[in-house]
Amino acid sequence: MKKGDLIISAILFLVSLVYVIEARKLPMSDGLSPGAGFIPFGVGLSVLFLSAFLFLKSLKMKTTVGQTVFLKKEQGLRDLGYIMISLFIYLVGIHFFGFRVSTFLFLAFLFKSVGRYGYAFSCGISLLTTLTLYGIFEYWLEMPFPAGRVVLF
Amino acid sequence: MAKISDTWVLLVVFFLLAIIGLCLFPYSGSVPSIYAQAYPTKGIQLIVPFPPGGSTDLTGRVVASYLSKKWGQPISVVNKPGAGGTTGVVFALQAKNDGYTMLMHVTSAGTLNPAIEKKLPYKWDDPTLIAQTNISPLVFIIKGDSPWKDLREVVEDVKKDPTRFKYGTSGPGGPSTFAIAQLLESAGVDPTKVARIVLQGGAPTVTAVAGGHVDFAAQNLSEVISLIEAKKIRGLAVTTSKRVKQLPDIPTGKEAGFGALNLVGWNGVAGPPHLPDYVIKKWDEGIREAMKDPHFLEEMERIGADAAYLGPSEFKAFLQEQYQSALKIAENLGLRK
Amino acid sequence: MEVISKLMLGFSVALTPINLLYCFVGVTIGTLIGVLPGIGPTAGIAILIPVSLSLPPTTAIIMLAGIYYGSMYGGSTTAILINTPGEAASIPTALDGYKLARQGRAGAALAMAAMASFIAGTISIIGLMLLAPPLASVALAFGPPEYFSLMFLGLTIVVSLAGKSLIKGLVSALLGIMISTIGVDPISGTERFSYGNANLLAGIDFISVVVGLFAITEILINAEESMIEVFKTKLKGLWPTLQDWKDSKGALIRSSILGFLIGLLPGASASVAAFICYDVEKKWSKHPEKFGQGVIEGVAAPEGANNSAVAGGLVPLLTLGIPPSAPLAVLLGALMIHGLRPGPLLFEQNPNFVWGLIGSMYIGNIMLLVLNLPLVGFWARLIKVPYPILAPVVLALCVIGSYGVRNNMLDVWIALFFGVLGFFMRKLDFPAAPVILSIILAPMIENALRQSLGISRGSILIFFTRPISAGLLILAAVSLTLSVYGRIKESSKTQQLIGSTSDYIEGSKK
Repeated sequence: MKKGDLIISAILFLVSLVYVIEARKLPMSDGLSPGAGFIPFGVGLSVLFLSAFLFLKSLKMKTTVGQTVFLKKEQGLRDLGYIMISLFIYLVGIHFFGFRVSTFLFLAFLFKSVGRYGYAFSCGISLLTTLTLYGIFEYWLEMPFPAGRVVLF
Repeated sequence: MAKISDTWVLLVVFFLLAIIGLCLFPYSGSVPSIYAQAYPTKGIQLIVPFPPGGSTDLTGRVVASYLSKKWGQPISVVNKPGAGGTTGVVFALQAKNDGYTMLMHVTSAGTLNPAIEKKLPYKWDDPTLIAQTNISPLVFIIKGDSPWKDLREVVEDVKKDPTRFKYGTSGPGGPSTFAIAQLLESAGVDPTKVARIVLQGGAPTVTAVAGGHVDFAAQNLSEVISLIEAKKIRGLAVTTSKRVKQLPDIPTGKEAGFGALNLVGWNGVAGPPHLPDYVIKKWDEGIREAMKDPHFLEEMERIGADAAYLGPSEFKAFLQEQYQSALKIAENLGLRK
Repeated sequence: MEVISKLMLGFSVALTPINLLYCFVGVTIGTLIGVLPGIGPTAGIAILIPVSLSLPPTTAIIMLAGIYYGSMYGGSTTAILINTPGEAASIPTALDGYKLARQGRAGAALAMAAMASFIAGTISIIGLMLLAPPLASVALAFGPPEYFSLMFLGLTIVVSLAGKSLIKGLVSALLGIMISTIGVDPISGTERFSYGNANLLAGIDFISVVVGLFAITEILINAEESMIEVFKTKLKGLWPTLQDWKDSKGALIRSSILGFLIGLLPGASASVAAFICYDVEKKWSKHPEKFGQGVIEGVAAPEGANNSAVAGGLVPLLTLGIPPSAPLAVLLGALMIHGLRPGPLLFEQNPNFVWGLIGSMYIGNIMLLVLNLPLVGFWARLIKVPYPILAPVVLALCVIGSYGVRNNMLDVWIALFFGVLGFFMRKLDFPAAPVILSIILAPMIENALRQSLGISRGSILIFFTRPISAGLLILAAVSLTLSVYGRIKESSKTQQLIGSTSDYIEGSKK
């Protein structure tokens, strides 16, 4: 897929460029053995070259038959969006509201929007699942989930 | 189909529920205890800045198990490994100082890292230092079938041509680094001339000595004991002032001719800065009592820890002394960045 | 033979009601932990150490060990069903197992995974029983140069895993290396790429990356396609066919032995064993190009390997007190807390314990087989749960799983990041497996390289003058050659079939 390859190889090129520049700041030698910057420098450089190569190669590529559309179906796109964004909000929510509440909201939201179930069903299953997860992990296994209302990092 | 507005309604309703939920369901660690006499009134988290199974983790578990029985509240060990102990310590330092998040402190994170790392996010005296729980003697080890008979022979050989030798250490600031440096410096040898091979943890270091990949090392008692018993390595000296119970045949540094050796591993309990007095007193008393409990002592011995109590002021003084020694060595070795 | 009488002693210990009970508890919990994405046996054993303190030592260790090898059974379940390996050791299983599931053959794959685990587990315990002391000294002979060469051999598998575009495979692998350098440099203590963030200092845990790249990505990909039709293919029977057995029998034997040997080398974990055995099977096979499309040996080999690596890992642990991998390091801690000090004296002073443990491992494997086989039907039907319900729950489990690794929310964010990244990688044909393989191996390779050069004072010859290291490097060269040869053959075959370079054709969606 030509456009995708072009974009990704350009991004890779930039990322590895930054990486290499940062790697140069690290010591290359410890005295007798390679230092902290040795491997990063070499690896970064390799990615730099490979991504440049990839970029040029995808420029040459013809956009031919059989090329699937990057993102099919509007339906799928919406579902995808729901999941990605709600995941993000879920994680933020854990920081602020804690695990239990956030999980409940997250699950219910997805059941309703992606699963297209009714409100009652979504909330119900979500509640059930959240309680089960709480019971297993927070209560029985005593895993210390973030308490919420404290931004932890 | 009005799907989007459906979802918005849902979100609003749920946020309202969330706020209600917040008020109704208390989370552990969110409500501080008001009554000092009643401390602890709920479960405590003991942060261990290393992965499970290591010596700090084991010590933490023994302490937690004893204190939770004594105080009738659960004390759970929470491992927060990373960056040689830094992640866990920083986490504990940033926690609320209500006594419900405490730290199982250890040599590397407590005195060695601050000596090496100029840019460490904390200083050695940032945590509230409460009580020492145990000493972990360092043992100088060589390969089991090595021709050296005692520590003096090793040092002599190294003095003749330091560049021929290499020692292993469990991390950039591992106990070996400092102990070997202290040993060699006291004999007039420049430790930077000997190759320092940094391995990942105590077990690989001890294994490397046993396999002959490095010539010697100095690691914690708990790490060396199995291989000494298996006769794959030999211990030449311990860094404590008295001989070690589990290895009675190994002389102390002083007996072996090197009185300057004073670096030991240690564990202790600590907490976030500005810990209330009643918390400090409670933990101090708890550890002091533990030293009299035979079951606690037995468990400590099993994990290779030498139970030894130091109260808050003595603990701090001891740490200061260890830190200063480590600092000097770090600067001499050019380790301090 | 003396061993038989010792084994009888072991069984007499293992078959007591309390030991049987806790063996069962351990393997069941282990299976569940294996199924759960993220948390692995390391965390599982650690979490249950306090519980074990109230048990007699032998019983406690029987339970904790059961968690370890049990997790190797469990990891394959989600790997096959939803392309979500519960452990890194199950990633190779997912490569072919998931394809089989999509073809309706989930039952066969799951059953074969359970059988392979059982057969390899049993064979490897025999190895443990008979060969422990002599093999332990092999573990000691491994120094930094040998580690380097072994890990390097492991890394050559990347070529094999690269899929259609070798360049993209290499980029994936190199990206994995770049990711692994974030954090504190383990040798010099210098900060790398972490910019003062105390959490980043700890580095990126590979488990979060696995959860992201496999579990989360899979759900995102499926979401985009269609949430409804993920497992429409009719279930084609629950058991492996006779043909499956014929195809796999070689794989089973090879992976049992090879997995055991790799497992006992310090540093080589069950996942390394699984990857290597998968690759060995691919090279041995008469139809290597079919690997990755759903070949039953592609399930049998890694599953056998990760179980036999567990028994292999117990060799240095029990005889020398050297844990070759993280879960075993925790187990060592448990042993110490219970007053059992590993070493040759352990065999003499506590024969009841050692042989009891060995006996219980046989029994545990049988229990796991009995537990998992009937469950195959259950699991295969579980995936019929509507995907819109299953997927969010799996996502929540991913959050829990990645958090549980280090009790750090950063790991969850990392999983999310890689989940999204993995989506784009999948769309653009960048393979995910090399990333994980590199993240696991790169730190070890880098450390070993620097340590070895420190020992040799800068001379590269050290890798070639030491026999084991040289031997491993030769194997690596062989492996590379075979992989490259395989790729050339493959692409020329495709060229003949299609008549134009395969690069220009947008190939399979997955």
